[in-house]
This record gives sequence, structure tokens and C-alpha cells, in this order.
Amino acid sequence: MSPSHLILYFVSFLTLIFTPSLAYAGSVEGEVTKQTFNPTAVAIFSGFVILTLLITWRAAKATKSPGSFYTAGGSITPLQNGLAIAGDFMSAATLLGMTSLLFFVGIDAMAMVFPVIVAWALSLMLIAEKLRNLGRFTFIDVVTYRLESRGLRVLLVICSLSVVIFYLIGQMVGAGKLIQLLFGLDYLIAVITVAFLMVTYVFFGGMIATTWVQMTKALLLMCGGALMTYLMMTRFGFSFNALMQAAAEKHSLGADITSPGGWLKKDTLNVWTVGLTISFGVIGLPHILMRFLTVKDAVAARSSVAYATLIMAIFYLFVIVIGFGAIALIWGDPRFYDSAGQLIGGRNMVALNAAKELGGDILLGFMSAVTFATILAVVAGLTLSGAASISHDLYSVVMRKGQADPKTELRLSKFVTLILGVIAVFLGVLFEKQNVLVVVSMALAIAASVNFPLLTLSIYWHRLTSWGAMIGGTLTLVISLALVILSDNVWVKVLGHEQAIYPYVFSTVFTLPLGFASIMLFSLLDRSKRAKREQAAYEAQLFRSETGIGAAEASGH
Amino acid sequence: MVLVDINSRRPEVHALVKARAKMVSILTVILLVLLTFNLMLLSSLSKLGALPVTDAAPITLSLVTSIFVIFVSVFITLFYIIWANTYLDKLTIKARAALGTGEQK
Repeated sequence: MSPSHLILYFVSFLTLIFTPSLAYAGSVEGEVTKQTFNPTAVAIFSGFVILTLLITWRAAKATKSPGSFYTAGGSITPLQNGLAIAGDFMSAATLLGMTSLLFFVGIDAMAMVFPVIVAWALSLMLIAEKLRNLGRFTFIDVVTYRLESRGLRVLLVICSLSVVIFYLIGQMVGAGKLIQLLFGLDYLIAVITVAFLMVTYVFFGGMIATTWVQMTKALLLMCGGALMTYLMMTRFGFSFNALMQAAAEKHSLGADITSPGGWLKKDTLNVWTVGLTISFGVIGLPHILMRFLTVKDAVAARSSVAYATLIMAIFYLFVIVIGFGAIALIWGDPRFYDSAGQLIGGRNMVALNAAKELGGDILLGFMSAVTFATILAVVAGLTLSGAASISHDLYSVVMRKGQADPKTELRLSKFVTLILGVIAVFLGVLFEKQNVLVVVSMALAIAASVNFPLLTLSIYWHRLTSWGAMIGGTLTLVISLALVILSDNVWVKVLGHEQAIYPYVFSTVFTLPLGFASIMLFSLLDRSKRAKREQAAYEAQLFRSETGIGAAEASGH
Repeated sequence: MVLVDINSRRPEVHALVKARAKMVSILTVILLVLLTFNLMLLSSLSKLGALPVTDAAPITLSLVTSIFVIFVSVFITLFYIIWANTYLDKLTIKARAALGTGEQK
């Protein structure tokens, strides 16, 4: 495909989506209010899409093997990968959700801020280098490095795909509503637009294109965050004290915005379950872990995660300033509330309303376009991870026992990408009026309670066996999902019962220890010959995870 | 699975494993203590977390420590990178040399 074809392809698509007569006449429930058409947002977003499609066209030439498709052949530099990891991880929820939470509940929202940065520092030291030395294309390669059971790999594929699909639903529904809000598009068109671009990036450009989309998005997000923080601080003479004083004077909580204990039903365990889910869910997200394998060696993986941690720490500091600053700027200001007394656009639009106050329609347009780019970058990473789980972990390793024809595997990856695009649209529409916190809770619960213990124990505990991993992992998976179903989000809000059986938001505070304990217990009970072989193989695994000898051949980089 | 025929109890490999484990353990414990303490300030120790640290603005202990945890995490990240680049990588090279391979420095 030539660049001119790509641009024509894109222009035709834009024409289609911006033609009102073709627009789907659906409505969106909840707190979303459709905004007026913002030409700045459309112009900046169009520029982003054209740029990333050109990158995709270039990347398509280099995407000729499973290795290049899944992990860019290890050709990504540490700085690029650090930016891409930050771009992959920081979703629209980071910018919009966190600022909104700080705006409404104050200091308690910090339970979702600092654990992220702690998690990245832990991930650097505990996971990054060893994962790169042991893995090939996915984190499942690492967990099953010395564990022989193909059933375990199937379980891990189920966990990985569950996380990807649950997360994808959350992103697609959020994307549909946000794009409807920000660009004035209808929900279905918005969802199709996101799925179309996501599939285009991954199908043609694989990991290289996905990386560039994520890097570009991370840079735009950092620029937007820095600009908003700068403009915010100019309003308060660059004094954080003055900003906080102004925020306390405006907010209905007064000075209590910085006193903890008002959110999460004032329940200690609720705070813990949120904090632990955020911390350890991050380390178990398959699309993020896959990024550690896109660099040439463990040293590069280490540097990548360090860059990513630095970038995200700076951005989260921006979020703190924007969140509290927004209170001082727009809390109670009638220009930002509708006739029903609700914030214009809904509760999640704090950052964008603040952008409008700080920089008018131009900054609002820029931040809206950045938000759209943010969603695209995250869904592209999720799609690629889902495709790798099926075509590499399931087809190539389990079904073909590692003897799959690379061309067939690549074709299958691309086919799965298309299918995931269709599934994303279907589920996006199906879950349009559902509470997406449910599926996001499930994704994070699995990542934190199943993926994280399995990955950590496979790297650090020599007694781990296939049987222990299978039984303990399955038990934890089932209990994690059951607790989410019994929680307020499903039991009350979806199934209509009066009171939740499980009173917390996430299951992690119970299922994370359960995951470790059950996997370890069943491993210790395993006295089979296979268990002895697997335990004896730990020394060779430790050797490779420390020195990297053999990693280059295995990864195919 | 690629099993390498080695003896990881060789002194060079052992030194590498030990050095990494020691440093990672210390830094991980520091991070987990900070994470735990700060989550406690937001939950069971919320009265302590609500203590003001200045009279000039509503800045409380939990806000300061939350930001402090972010800075400490970044500091530990940078410290680990510098330590690994200057010390751990040398041990890795030694271990690899002892095993007769120069692959992937």
C-alpha cells in the first residue's frame, strides 16, 4: 500500500464518519453530554492519524516475521521503549479519571496515584531484566520456561486473553463515550473509528507501528500535561501552597480535601484493595509485559523501564497539580456546569474543562485530540498482545508444539487482529450501557491475583511446579471473578440486588495472598516425576535469567 | 525451553546472583514499607494522615508523603540503574567470561 493510498483511505474514512446523514442515531446513557464540533481537536487528531498511518506504512515493510510482528525483532531502543511503555500504560483514565477523582474526593484519590510509580520501580528491579532474558514474545513464555504442562499455557492464555478483552471493553466503551463527547460523533461511529485504526496499526505495522503510535501519544500527553501544569501554576504565582489554599476555599469539603478517609466508604480494606490492585495489577498486565521483550537485551529492558518510570512519575505529578488546580479554577463556576448542576460533559471531564479555562478552545481541542490518541495507543497494544496470545502461545507452542511455519503464524496473527477488531466493536456496543468498571475490575483482579503471582513465583521460586501453578492459578482465577461478581459493581448495579455480598471494589486484598499461597501449597504437594524435573530445571533458568546466555537465540532477535 | 549446561554455583555466577538479590531485596523492602505506610495513612491511620504540615495551606502529612513516595520511587529507580550499570553489569561480564561466552554483554 502506498502512502497516497493510505491517506485516501483515511480521508474517505473521515468523510464517512463526519457525514451526519450516515451517523448512527444511537444515544449514550450516563453522564456523557455530546459537545459541539471542535475543529482544533479534529485537526490535531487528523494530523496524529495521518502521521501514524504513514509510520504504519513504513513499518509494514519491516513486519515480515512473527518476531518482527510481536516484538519488533528487538529493534526498539531503550528510550523509544520507555516512551512506548508509558504510552501503553497511561490510558485516558490516567488523565481524565485521576484528575476527576482528585477533583471530587481529594487526597483519597492518591491511593490510585503513588502505587503506580511504586509498581514501576518494583517492576524494574524484580521483573524487567529477567523477563527479557527468559522470554521470547509474551510473559507466558517466561512462566512456562521450565514448566512442561501445556495445560498451564492454555490457562495462561485464558488469563491473558481475559485481561486483554476485559481491558479492551473498558477502553472501547470509554472511547466511544469520550469521542462522542469530544468530537460530537455518535457512539457506534466512534467505536468503529477506534477499532478501524487499531486494526490498521497492528495488522500492517505490528509492534513497530504500535510502538510509534504509543511513543507519539506519550509525547503529546507529556506536552499537554506540562503545558496545563505550567498554565495552572502561572495562575497561582507558581506557589503550590497558594493553589491548595484556593482549592480548599472553593471545594465543598473545604480544607478536608487533603484529609484522608472520606472516600471508599471510609473502609480501610477498600483503600488497601485499591492500592494493591493498582500496584500489582500493573505488573501483571500482558500487553505491558510484552513491551519488555521489544529491546535487544536485559540492559536495554532495564533502561526502558527506568525511562518509563521517570516519564510516568513526572506525568502523575502533573496530574496532581491539574486535579487540585482544577478545583481552584472551576469548582462551582457556573460556566462549567449545566442547568442540572452537573459538570459539563460529565464527571470525567474535569481535565478538559480545566484545559478550556486555561487555554480556551485551542487547548481544549489539543487535549481532546491527545485523549483520542491515548485511547488508540492503548487499544493497539492490547490487540497486539491478544493476537500474540492466540497465534504464538496457543497455536504455535501448544497446538504445533513450537514447530509452526512462521508465515502461517504471521498470517494467523493478522487474522486474529481482524477478529479482535470485530470483537472490540461488538463488545463495545454490547457493553455501551453497562458499568465498565466491572470488566476493568475483572481485568485488574486477574492481572494482580493470577498473572503477577505466577510470573513472580516462576522467576524466583524453585519449588514451583506445573500442577501447583495450574491448580493454584485456576482456583485464584475463579475466586477473583466470583468476588467481583459478588461486589457492588455487579451484584447490586447489574444484577439488581439490594446489598453486595462482597463489600469491596476489588478482590485483590484477598486473592493476591490466596494466589501466592495456593500456588505454593499445591506445588509443595506435587511429588510427581515431572515436578522433580521442573524443580531441577530452576538452576538453568536462574543462570539464564541472570546472565542472559541463550536469550538472544531463543528470542529470535 | 532452552536448558544451558552450566553449573550456576560457579563463584562468578554466585557472586552475580548474590549481589543482585541483596540490592533488590533492600530496595524492594524500602518501597513496600513506603507503600504500606502511605496506604495506612490513607486508611487506618487517616487521623495521622490528616495532620497539617504547614499553617499556610491545607497541606497534610498524607499529601506530602504521597508525593514523597513518588520521588523516592524515582530516586530508587535511578539509583538501581546507576548501580546496575556500574557494578552489576561488570559482574555479569565476569560471569559470562568465566563460562566462556562473550554473547550479549
